[in-house]
Amino acid sequence: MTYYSKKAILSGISSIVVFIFFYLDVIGKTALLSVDSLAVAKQWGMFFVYLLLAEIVVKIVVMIIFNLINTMMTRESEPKIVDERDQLIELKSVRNFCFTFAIGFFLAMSALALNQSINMMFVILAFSFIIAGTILEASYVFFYEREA
Amino acid sequence: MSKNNVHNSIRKLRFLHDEMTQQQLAEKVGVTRQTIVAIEKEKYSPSLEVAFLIARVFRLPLEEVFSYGTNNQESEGEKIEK
Repeated sequence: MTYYSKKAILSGISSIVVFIFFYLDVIGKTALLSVDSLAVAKQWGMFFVYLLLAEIVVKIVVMIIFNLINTMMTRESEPKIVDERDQLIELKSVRNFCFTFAIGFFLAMSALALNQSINMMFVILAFSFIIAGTILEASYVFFYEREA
Repeated sequence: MSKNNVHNSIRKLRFLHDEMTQQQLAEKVGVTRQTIVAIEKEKYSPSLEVAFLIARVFRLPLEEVFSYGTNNQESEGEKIEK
């Protein structure tokens, strides 16, 4: 398995763990509120901001630890060059992320159009975010392993 | 029909050039070793620039390193040459 595949798997797992932690927290908080109140939107807004910040911090820490362990175990350091193939794989993976998130966004807006609660819209948006993120990392693994 | 119709003889050429390693070739071309592996296995078609750089490393014209065509087309080409 290539360095980038291992990195993508670890990144995906850390994203899911962080998401579950914050999602359970926001679900608990919004359960006490009226489904269409402005306080619900505020809670979800805080959820997305904290989720993004936490993901960045957790990923930096996880990648530092991963690089240390990977270098010790395989004696293979992080690739210094990002060549055309890496860029192509990144483009394809980000494209998959965008497609998935766009579908999720469409579904979230459809829920609003179909008179669903604001809470439901945010739940769909949150899940489309984590699913799109997982697809992004899975795409990295798929393209790197297919062409390895 | 094979999806990738770009064929190459990099593996053979590396062997003929003092058994050059994939890492050495990658460093000379300026790509990662994984990219050289993917090109050799014909799972990835390089850009024209990288193809020219690989050919330059072996001091050969591009068409002696890379060829294009399905197996049927190749055999037809060989017939014409004969």
